[in-house]
Amino acid sequence: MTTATPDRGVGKCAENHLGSYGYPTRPEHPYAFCPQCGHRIVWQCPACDAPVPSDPDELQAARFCRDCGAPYFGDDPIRD
Amino acid sequence: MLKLELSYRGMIAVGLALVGLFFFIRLWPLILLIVTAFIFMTTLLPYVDWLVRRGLPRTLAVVVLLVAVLAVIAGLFALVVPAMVDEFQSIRDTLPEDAKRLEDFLANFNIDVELEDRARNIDWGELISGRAVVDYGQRIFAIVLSTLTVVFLTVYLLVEAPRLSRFMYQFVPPGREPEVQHLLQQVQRVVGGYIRGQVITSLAISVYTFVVLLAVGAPNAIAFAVMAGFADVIPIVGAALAVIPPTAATFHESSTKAVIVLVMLVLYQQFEDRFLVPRVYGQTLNLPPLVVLIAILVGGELLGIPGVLLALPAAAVGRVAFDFWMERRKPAFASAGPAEEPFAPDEPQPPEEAGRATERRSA
Repeated sequence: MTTATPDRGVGKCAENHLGSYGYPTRPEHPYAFCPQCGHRIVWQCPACDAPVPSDPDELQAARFCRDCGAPYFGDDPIRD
Repeated sequence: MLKLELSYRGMIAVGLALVGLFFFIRLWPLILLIVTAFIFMTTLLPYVDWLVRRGLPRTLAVVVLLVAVLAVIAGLFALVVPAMVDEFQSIRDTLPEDAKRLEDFLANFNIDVELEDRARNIDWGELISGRAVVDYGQRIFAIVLSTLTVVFLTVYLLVEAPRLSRFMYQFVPPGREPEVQHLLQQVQRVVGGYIRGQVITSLAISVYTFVVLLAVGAPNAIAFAVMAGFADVIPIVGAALAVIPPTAATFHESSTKAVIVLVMLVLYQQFEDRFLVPRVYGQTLNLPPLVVLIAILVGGELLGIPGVLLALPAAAVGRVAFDFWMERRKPAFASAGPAEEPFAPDEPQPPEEAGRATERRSA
């Protein structure tokens, strides 16, 4: 399933660094890697494309997609 | 004996707090104008953004909107002020007569008051003396100056809104933007909703007052209707301002008509308080009636009329801030483990979670 990229969003890397795009003073489009640790950033579930939680506390705690249960970083070559 | 010890840093903090408080109190009138401008900005911003999306340059969109709003308000004042001056002159001329009629009317209910003599003894020359004119003139000048300041501040805030937004987001850590955006949307919803709700209730009372006054043949129906709309903005006191002047003016015509006007307008106040306001504001402000009353009393005590006017939006914004704070205190998940490492490396995932994930991913 592929959905259009939203105008703005938040994401995080495997080291739990948060990032965002589309907001004032932030990059316009989602970027691939975390500027703090170089890990891949997840903006949406790799399995079902559902956006990651927008609540920052929930986002920091989340490791699995709440829509399909897939792990966000299961296939991350750096992490695993 | 109690010994109070304060570090140098603590002393500096207390000193800075006192200096801040001093400036806050000294600058309070200015802060009030800025808060008012922010309220208008919040209300008008969606309409400016709408015009900008239609292709208008931002500055032009702001000017067009402001001119339209000010033209409507000026038009309403132009309707009310001359009629009110006429009404005042008429009341002044016929006051002793009306007082006599009121005396007679009240005598029917065995209420004995001496109104006619008092009305004849009013020294209108003293009330409208040179000193009073200067005093009123100064007040009007201050009001005009404050209004102009608020208008210019509102224009500036509306034009600079995108830049202000960028400036503010600079201080937001990455990933926290949706939270801030949600908070700003909530503030915009309650403040904008309050002003839009006020416009609806003011329009409703104006139309109703006009119909009632027209039906009984009262003088200056349009002017009193518009005045009722303006008075409706002021919580609690506004009800009296909307009811008493048209009733007094109708009393010139006939005491029966005045009673009809009084009853009809008081009934409407009840309808507005019990039915209309909860439906118009209930969802928007989300404030219990007791909080509304306390907010109005506190606002009135602190700032007089401006405080009464600002009480409801301020209380509603306070509610939004409180909800935001409470929301942040809640854990993200009821049983969330440590964010960094939810499972120990060697520990298998709970079968339920692992099973679900594998199942979905293979699907």
